Amino acid sequence: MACLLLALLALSPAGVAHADVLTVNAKGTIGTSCTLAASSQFAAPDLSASGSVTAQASVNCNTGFKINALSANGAIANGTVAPANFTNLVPYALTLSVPLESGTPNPITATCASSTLVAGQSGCALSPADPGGLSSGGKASINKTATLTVAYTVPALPTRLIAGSYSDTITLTIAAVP
Amino acid sequence: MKKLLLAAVALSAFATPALADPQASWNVTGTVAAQCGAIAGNDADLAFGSLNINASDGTLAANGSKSTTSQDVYCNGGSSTISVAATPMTNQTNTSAEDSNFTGTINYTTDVNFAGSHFGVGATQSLGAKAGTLVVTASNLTANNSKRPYAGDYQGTVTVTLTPGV
Repeated sequence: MACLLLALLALSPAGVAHADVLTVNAKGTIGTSCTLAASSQFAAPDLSASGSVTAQASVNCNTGFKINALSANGAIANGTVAPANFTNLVPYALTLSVPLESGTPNPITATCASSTLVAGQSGCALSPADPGGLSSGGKASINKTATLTVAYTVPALPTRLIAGSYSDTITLTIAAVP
Repeated sequence: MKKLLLAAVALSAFATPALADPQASWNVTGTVAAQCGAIAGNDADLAFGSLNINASDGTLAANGSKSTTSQDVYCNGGSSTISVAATPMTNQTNTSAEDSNFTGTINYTTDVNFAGSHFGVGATQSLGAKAGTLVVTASNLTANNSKRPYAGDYQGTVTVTLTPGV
């Protein structure tokens, strides 16, 4: 008996197996990413008559987003002060069309008068101070090509454009809206 | 040690600084060439008809003034200029030289009224960008050296040159 007890004591450390479970969760986060680049510039508009020019942008957003536009001058403008019967401004309408991965409408579009694109304006979807901007409605746009169209209107007689160089700078800002 | 490492990785995911929203810009540039042109109206003669002569001594009497019909004209450049040249009215049918009593030359005063701005004879006068009616007027006819004008038909020319400039 004494021998048997010693044997049990000797076996006891390995006699009962205790499970020791280590659980490791693999977690990760893919952050929202939005990039925007000018992939082509506008051709020089022929200001002898009304017309339009187009440019393109590369949009790469892995989540929903919004876009706002800013016009430096509110028109294609010349710096010379225009006397009577002349003007130094060529107003235009900017149309932005952005393809999406899915959803309707697709592409999303907005058209805004250049006067609504100056700093502080909020009267149009693309206006720089419009909080909603041109919204993708939560849809992504992966490596899509957006189109910008500037449809300009020259003044009607008897008003004429004063001679010289005209310019405007349009800046698009994209922001993720998951 | 492993727990410390996991904590460090977890913290790093939230330590990324906020970035400004991406932007891209496009320039729209164009040019309007400087030019001058006549929109409507034609060159017209300043026809005085039969000039008045003082019957008592044959000298040239007052003959008033004559103006062209208005033309719609424009220059769109801020550095545009106007030049006005005028040749005296000379006798086209009697080309005799001026003598002690008679002359074949009648002088006159020229005025160019362009949209309310008046220009006399002179080269390269500053005009700027201007649009409106242009009227040429001849007045104050005087025989050269106050002599008696020869009989005959007289003719002179007023030339208005508009030069565009940006």
